[in-house]
Amino acid sequence: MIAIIRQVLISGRIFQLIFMVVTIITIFWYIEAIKRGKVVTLRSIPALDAIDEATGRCAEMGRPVHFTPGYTQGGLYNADMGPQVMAGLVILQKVASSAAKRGVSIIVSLNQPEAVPIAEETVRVAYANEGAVSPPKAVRFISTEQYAYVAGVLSMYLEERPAANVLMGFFWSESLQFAEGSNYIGAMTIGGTASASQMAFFAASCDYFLFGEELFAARAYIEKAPDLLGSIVGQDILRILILAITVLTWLAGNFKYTQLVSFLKM
Amino acid sequence: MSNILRRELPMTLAAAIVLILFTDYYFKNDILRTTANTLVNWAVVASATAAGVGVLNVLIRTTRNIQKRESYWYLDIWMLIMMVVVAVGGVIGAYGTSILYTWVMQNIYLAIDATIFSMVVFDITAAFYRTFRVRSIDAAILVISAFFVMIYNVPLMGGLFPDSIAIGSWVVNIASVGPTRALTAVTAIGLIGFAIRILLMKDKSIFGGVD
Amino acid sequence: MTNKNISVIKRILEIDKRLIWIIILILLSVPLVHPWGLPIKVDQYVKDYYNAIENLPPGSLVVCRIDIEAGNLGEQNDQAVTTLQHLIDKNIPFIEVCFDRADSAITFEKVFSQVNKKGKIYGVDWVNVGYMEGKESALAAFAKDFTYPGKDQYGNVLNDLPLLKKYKSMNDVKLIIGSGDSTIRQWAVPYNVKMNSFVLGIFFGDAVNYYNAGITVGILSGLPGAAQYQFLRGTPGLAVAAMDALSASQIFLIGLLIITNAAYIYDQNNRRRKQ
Repeated sequence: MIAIIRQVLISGRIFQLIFMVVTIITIFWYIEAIKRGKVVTLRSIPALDAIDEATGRCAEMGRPVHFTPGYTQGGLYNADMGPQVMAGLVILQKVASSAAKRGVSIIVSLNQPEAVPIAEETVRVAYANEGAVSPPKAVRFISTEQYAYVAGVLSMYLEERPAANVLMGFFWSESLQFAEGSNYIGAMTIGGTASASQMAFFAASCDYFLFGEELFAARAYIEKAPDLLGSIVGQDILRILILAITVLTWLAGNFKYTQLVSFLKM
Repeated sequence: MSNILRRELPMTLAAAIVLILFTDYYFKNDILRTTANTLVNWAVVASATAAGVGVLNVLIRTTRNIQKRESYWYLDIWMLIMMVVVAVGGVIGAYGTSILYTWVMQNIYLAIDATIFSMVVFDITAAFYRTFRVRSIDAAILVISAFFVMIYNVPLMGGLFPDSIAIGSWVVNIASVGPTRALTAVTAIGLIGFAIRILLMKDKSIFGGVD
Repeated sequence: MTNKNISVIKRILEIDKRLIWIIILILLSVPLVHPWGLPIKVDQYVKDYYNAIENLPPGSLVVCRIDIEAGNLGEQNDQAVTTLQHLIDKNIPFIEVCFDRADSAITFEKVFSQVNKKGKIYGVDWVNVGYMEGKESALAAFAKDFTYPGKDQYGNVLNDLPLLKKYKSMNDVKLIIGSGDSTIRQWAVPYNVKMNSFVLGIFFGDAVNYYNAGITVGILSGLPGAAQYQFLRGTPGLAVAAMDALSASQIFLIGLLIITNAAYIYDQNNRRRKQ
C-alpha cells in the first residue's frame, strides 16, 4: 500500500497532502456546523473596528481616505506576497463602503497593474450601493518598482493630505516610510500585514494594526457570514493540531522515537 | 455584464486552474506537470499584459492632470517623457544592446532607488524616538529587549566586550525564533483558509463588489 | 521639581526629530570618510559561510542567485562583491542567474564590474544566465537543466558554452549562494545541495531558522555580515568602514533610548506625585 502511495505521490510531500486534506475537511465541517446553528464569537479586532472611525475622521476634516494593499515582486501571482495583497483588496471593500456611506472620497494606490480592475470594480460597486459615483482618479496605479511606488505614495500624501491611511497587505521597507509619512501629515494610520519582518514596524508606528492571520480573517470578521466564520473556526482547530504535532515531535525527538519524524518527512 | 461572466466564470476557471496546480504539486504525473507549467507560463504572460493596464491608468491620470493644470502638472510632463525614453530604450535593448537603457538604469534608476531606500533610516529613528518609551509593562519589556538587541548589533561591543552581546544574541537567536516560526505557521493556515474560501466561492469579494 | 528641571525634561521628551536626523547623518558620514578602525567580532555563521567556499574542492561548481534590488545595493553590494571575488580567487567556476526582478541583471553587472576577474574567461570560468521569468517554476526548470533558458544575458546560446557542456543540472552543483525561501524549496532541499545565504539584515531572523535546521551552512546578514566576511578574507573595504559608522550611530541611539526613558519615567513619577 505504502509502495503504491510512494509511486503515485511525490516523496516528501505525502504528509503535506494528508494535512491539506484534513484542513479542507475541517473547514467544511465547521462551515456546516455553523449553518446548522453552532454559535461562534470572534474576539474583537480593533484595527477593523477603527475603519469607520477613520472614515468618520475624514468626513469631519473634509479630506480623503487613502488605502494601499502594498507591494509585490512580479505581480499578484508572487506566492509569498500576492495572497496578502489580495487579502488587502478584500478589506478595500469595507474601506470603500465606509467611505461611501460618509461621503468621503477614497484614494487607492496600487503597485500591481493587475489589481487595477479589481480595485476599480470594488470602489465603483461600493459607491453605487450608496447611490453615489466613485471619485475620479480614485484608483491610481503608481509603479511596479518598489521605490517608485513609495515615492508616488509619499508625494500623494503631501499633495492630497488624506486624514486617514489604511495600509493592508504585504509591505517591506515601505511599511515604515508610509506609516511615518502618514504620521508626518497628521493622518490616522491603520496598518495590517502578515509579513513577519514588518509587523514590528506597524506595531510601533500605526494607531491601529492587525497582523498575521487577522489580515486573512478580516472579511469573516466584518461580514460574520456562516461560511466565513466556519473557516475561521476550522483554522483555529488546525492550529491546535499543529501545536499538538509540535509537542509530540519534540517529545519523540527527546525519547529518540524517530518514526514520527520519518512520518512527518514522508 | 451578467454576474455569470463577471464572477462565476472567472471563479470557476480559477478553481479549475488551482486544482490542476494543487494536484501537480503532490502527484507524479507528466501530463499534469506539463499542464501546470503551461498554466504558470500563461500566468506570466497575463501578468505582463496587465502591465499595459497600469500604463493606461497612468497615462489617463497624468494627461488629465496636465490638461487641467493640476498641482505639479509640469512634473507629469517630465514623467511622460521619461516613460517614453525608457520604454524605447528597453525595446531597443530587447533586440541588442541599448546604451541609453543601460545608462539610465545604472546612473539614474539605481541611484534614486538606493536614495529612497536610504530614507528609511530617518523613518526608523523617528519611529524609534517616538515609540520606545516605558508606557506599560509590555512596553518596558520591549524597551529592555531592544536595549540588549541594540548592544548586540553594535559591532564595537562584539569586538571589545564579547560577553556584553550574550543577552542580545539570546534574544535574536533563540527567544524570537520560536514566536517567528509560530507566526509563520499560523499565518500559513490563515492563508490556506483564505484560499479555500475564495476558490469555493464562499468569498466573492476578490472579484470586485459586494455579494 | 523646579521649572528648570521641567523645561529640561520637556525638551528631552520633545526633541525635534530633525536634530536627531542631523546627528545620525553626521555619525554615519564621518566614519565613512575617516574610518576609525574599531574592532569587529566575526560571528560563527559568517565563519561557516567563508569556510563553505574556502573548503570547496577544485572543480566544484557553484550556482549563484545574486538577486539584488537596486535599493538594496547599499547593504548587499559588498556581500556580493566579496563572495564573487572569493570564488574567482579560489578558481571556482560559477553560474549566475536571477529570478526576482529584471533589473537584478543590471545590478549584477554593476556588482561584477567591481570584481577583479584575474583573466577568467567567460563561458569557461563563469556564465551569467541573466534574468529568468517565471519565479518558482523557472527555478525548478533551471535546476533540472541549466540550458533551459536558451540564451544567456549576452545573447550567447547556452548549449555552446564550455561550462554548460561540462555541468548540466543542479545534481552537479556543490554549493548554492543565494537567498529566499524559493531557493531552498526548489534547489537546496530537493537536490540536497549545501547553501550559503546572504540576506538583508532585516531578514536575518528568517535565515537563521534554516541555518539552525542545517539547511543553510552560512549566513551573511547585511552590512555587518559583509564587513566580517571582508575581515576574514583580509580585504577590508567599505563594509568594514561602515561598521564604525554603525557603531557610532547605534551607540548614539542606545544613549538616546536611555536618556529618553529616564526622562519619561521621571516625568511620569512627578505627574503621579502631583495627583
